[in-house]
Amino acid sequence: MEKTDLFNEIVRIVPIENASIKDFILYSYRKDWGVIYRSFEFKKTIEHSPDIVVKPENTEQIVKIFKLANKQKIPITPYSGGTGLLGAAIPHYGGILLDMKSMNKILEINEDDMSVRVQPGINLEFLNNELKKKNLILGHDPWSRPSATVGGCISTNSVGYRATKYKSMGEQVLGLEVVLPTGNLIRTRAIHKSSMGLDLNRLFIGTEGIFGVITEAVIKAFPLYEKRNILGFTFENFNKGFETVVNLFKKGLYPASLELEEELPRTSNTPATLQIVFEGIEEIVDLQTKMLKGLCEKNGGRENRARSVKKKWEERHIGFQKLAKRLGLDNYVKYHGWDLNVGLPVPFVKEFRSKSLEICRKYNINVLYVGIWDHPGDFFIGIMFTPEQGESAIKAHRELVEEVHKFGGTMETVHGVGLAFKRYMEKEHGIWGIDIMKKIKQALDPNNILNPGKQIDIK
Amino acid sequence: MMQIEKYKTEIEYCTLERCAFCREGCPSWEQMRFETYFARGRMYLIQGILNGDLKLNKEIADVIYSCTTCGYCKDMCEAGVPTTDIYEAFRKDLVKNGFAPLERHKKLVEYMKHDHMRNPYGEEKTKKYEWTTEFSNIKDKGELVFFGGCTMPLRSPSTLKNMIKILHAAGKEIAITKDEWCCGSIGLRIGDIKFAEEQAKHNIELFKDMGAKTVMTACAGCYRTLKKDYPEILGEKLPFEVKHITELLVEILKINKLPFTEEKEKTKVTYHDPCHLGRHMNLFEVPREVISKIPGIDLIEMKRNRKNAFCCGAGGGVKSQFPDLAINNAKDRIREAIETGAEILLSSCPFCIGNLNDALNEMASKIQDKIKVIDILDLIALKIQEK
Ligand SMILES: Cc1cc2nc3c(=O)[nH]c(=O)nc-3n(C[C@H](O)[C@H](O)[C@H](O)COP(=O)(O)OP(=O)(O)OC[C@H]3O[C@@H](n4cnc5c(N)ncnc54)[C@H](O)[C@@H]3O)c2cc1C
Repeated sequence: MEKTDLFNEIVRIVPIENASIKDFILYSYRKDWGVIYRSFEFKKTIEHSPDIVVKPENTEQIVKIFKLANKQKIPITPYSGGTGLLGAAIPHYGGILLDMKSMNKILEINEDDMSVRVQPGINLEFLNNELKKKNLILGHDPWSRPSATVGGCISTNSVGYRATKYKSMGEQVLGLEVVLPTGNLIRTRAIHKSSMGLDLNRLFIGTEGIFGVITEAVIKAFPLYEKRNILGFTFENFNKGFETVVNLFKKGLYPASLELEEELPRTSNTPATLQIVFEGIEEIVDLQTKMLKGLCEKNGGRENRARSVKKKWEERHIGFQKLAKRLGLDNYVKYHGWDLNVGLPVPFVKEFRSKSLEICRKYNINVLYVGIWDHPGDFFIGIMFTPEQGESAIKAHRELVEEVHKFGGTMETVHGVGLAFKRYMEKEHGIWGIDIMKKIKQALDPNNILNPGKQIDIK
Repeated sequence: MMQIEKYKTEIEYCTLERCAFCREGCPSWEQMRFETYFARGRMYLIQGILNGDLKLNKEIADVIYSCTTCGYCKDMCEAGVPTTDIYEAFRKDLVKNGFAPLERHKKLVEYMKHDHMRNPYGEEKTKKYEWTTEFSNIKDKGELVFFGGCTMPLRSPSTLKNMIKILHAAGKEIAITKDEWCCGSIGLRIGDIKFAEEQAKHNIELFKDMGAKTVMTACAGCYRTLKKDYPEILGEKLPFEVKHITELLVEILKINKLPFTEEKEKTKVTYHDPCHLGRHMNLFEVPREVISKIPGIDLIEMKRNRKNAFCCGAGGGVKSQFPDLAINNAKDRIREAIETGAEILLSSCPFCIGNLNDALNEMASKIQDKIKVIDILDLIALKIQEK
């Protein structure tokens, strides 16, 4: 279908000012954050323009767009904050890009149910501020909180700074309204439990919009904490810090946030800092704080100055910008880098850390930091390399993934799959695992129009 | 070479980082809601020009000129990508390549080139000084020179009259010249730098002739231009100090010089930070200090204030070229002000106040009944009027 014909059809569905086929509009939708970040295995750029950008205002319009797209076999890509890391929102095959950010209303705050019903394009920061007025907060607090959206976060099953207590975005979902690729609409029941068979919400959590477009979501809200304590400790090395973290969980302490970080790690004895946040009822927070101090002390952890701990917490939404400042923009733009957030069985974490440093050393790749985020099994490693080191970095990455799988872990706990990690899906899920996903996709999307080429390939 | 090439690294950084923290709160994004209309999208567009994917055209010029240059994106960018400087550089490129000034801007610049006008409103120069006729205590020369600008004398002369009343009550005398030209802000913001230079040089000479030690203005736009842009244009320090009226008021109020009337009841007010005063010049607290010294006033902040303040939508040439965009943003700002429960929305920029009032006039009468938009000067004058 010609672009202008497509435009003419689309503006019969949405107001004319909500659609554009102008180059200068399409051009800004060519990428998400996937371009450098971890997508280094792409020899060529993965940027791609859509043929048309549409800003739907309601579910009905999306249903109609799907009917049209099926008839004409036009790909559709949902796009929200455009902050995803793996190219999941890139319109890789052109077609219709649905910019979901105009569907951004709060439909209902249910204080007794402690939940909120929203349109998916709503920005997290805004939603959190509105909830605060009712003494509630969002549990999801990713670094990208100022720009990511509810729909995007459910679709990537993203993880925030306070996920130790509140878990990943998928865990916040109570109910969804979704337009399926065929244009049919489903609405799951927004309740806190059900034993009525398959949990259909799960089809749309972390699946990056390949099975449907979320048009409404009911998500959990949590009580605004009475008190928040932010604490920091320095340990002699990673292992000492790690053991403390494991003990803390075994004792039943319940932090909101947890991060153990070792900057510029060597094989052993680089100091590691632990940051713990408790939030909730004052007495409980104070009691947990006291217990934590005891545990840290036992393992030789020194408490850090309150000011620097607080600063680190307050700057949690601007991490990379700080790095860019430190390196200078000129250097920063020259480097490539990625974070690998892997999930491991807890007993293997220490061993994996040593192994990962060994691999990076072998390939001469700079490790900026390693650590634990949210849960003792959630290990991260951040590396940086020059374009000339690209090939080595690819090799190092492959070996790291190999190791993760050997230990029984998952290669990514935070950011999703998109285009960049698609090649690892079979390794991660096995042939029959992928077979199930493909069958679901084919059944739901017979024309393969919805976000094609992401996560899995369909013939 | 294009001016924007200087910023290649910064632009690349933004398009690599793509955090989009500059999105929520960007006035042109709020209205247009396509990626292209906030800094991340604009930077990507400019990069497209630099790498040859896109060609300069009128539509791209429109995107760049739909930015109010409020500076919100620049402040949100923790890595310090100087977005507004990049836009201003790109605007120069657009002018050089014949895609700008845009239609309405051309007209404004045209008016300002006529010796009998020298203001963007196309009014006779003499009209700018009509408000002064009722005052005998305004001098032609002196150490404290008042620069009226164009918007205030032509669009809200009553505020200037209020200012004189206040200064009179404080025992301050000012000098005014009847030959000032527009400060040149418009030229700078739309990329017509040559014209701005001409205006600047004329005004600086004039101030010198008047014996100015301090040049004061009540307009946020003039203030930024005089204080920040003039030295850059001149390439040296100015031979006088530049002050915003609120800076003088704060000095006056510190020594308690104004005969305020007693107030039994409290009036709730809120304050809108003009971008040219706040984000551009860091004058956030001075106007608030002034407000806090007025008896019977309860200042309640809007949700977005100081560095996070939402632009009224008028700046950067948007009001003249894209009036709907300007008005719609102002309506949002008014709704935000009403949310605070304030009866008065104060500001200290005639351009913001004009735009906010234009918006208010288009809103439902029950909204109009809820709030008034006035200058801090008007409020002070009201509180000392009885004397
Ligand atoms: C500076 C920065 C910091 C970040 N920090 C974190 C972090 O701390 N934790 C973390 O987990 N991630 C983080 N991310 C990654 C990113 O913010 C998350 O992946 C986020 O969930 C993406 O949300 P989005 O609204 O931008 O979605 P997009 O990037 O627009 O889309 C992501 C995926 O969801 C699909 N999608 C979007 N909307 C819908 C919908 N309504 N229905 C169906 N599918 C949809 C898209 O097609 C795409 O596949 C960060 C990114 C940046 C740039």
